Amino acid sequence: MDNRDPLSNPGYLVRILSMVLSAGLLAVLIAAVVDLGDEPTGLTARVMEQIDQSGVSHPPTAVLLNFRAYDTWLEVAVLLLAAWGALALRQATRLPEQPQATSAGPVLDWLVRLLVPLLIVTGVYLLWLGTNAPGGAFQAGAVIGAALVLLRLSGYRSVGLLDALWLRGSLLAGFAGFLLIATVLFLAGWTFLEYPPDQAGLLIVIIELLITWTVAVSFVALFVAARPDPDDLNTESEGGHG
Amino acid sequence: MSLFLIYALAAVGLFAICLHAIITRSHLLRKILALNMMGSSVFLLLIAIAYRNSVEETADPVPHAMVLTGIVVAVSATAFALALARRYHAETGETELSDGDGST
Repeated sequence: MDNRDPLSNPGYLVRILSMVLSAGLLAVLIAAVVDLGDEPTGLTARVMEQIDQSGVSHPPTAVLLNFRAYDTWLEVAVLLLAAWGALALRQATRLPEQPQATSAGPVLDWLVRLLVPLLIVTGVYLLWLGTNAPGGAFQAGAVIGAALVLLRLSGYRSVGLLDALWLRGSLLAGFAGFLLIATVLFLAGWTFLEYPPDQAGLLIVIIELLITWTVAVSFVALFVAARPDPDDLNTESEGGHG
Repeated sequence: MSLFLIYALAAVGLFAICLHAIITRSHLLRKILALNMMGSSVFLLLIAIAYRNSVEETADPVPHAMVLTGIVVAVSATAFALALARRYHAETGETELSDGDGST
């Protein structure tokens, strides 16, 4: 496979060492997994006990946005860093439109016009569904992000319309919204990232809305930043940014 | 052998294979793919644990929730790694990290 340049091949010694390391780790992991056994040990029962206070009725959503909100908040931060890092690599402050080479053609045009509204409705439905059934912000964000990528690929204007401020704001929205709500509640006397049970449902929906938009825009930003030709992004951003 | 154990063993097996691949494969794309598959094997284990911990048809929501966000984070981390690899390729024309001494 990699034998066009024998010198760049890792030597046999490295292969054997790697195999020994992987096999050793495998043995340890197998022992650990077998040791776990079949008896349920998780927090299912405790989550089900407390779920009435969480503001939502779907257990994973309750865990994500209430009981383990800290994890989710920091995962949104990872998403922000990845998208921001990818943009930084391209030295771009906004996402340029796909240059439309030729007419998209009637079939693609029709399909995009059919699919994009459908994807947006599906995304919003998933977001709403998340409070009481499988669904939620991350799934909704992925679906809406897919709609935005589809728009881009077929030459329509979409995320390129966001200027530098709006793009950064969109990437930040989930993280900042989470932090803002947590801080306000903290100052009002609650524990950090704890919601008052009465308003928990509303607060969770607001945070989920922001996360959905952040996930969608982050996906498009990452998609654009990983585009094959690195130079055109630089030249287009130079106009406004220098 | 229980259903949990089958899935969990598959997960740790996949993890070990991917670790080997990350060390021995020199092409960046292969390393990134191996890293991504490594993440997927952890998701497989977490889902198996969620299934093992289920009480009355409700899977353990804690590992379940971790997988949900984990997938999104894994996608974005992979995309960032690909962007890094592309930039590296644009700068150096290489698809492999230089080793200096010809080994890892």
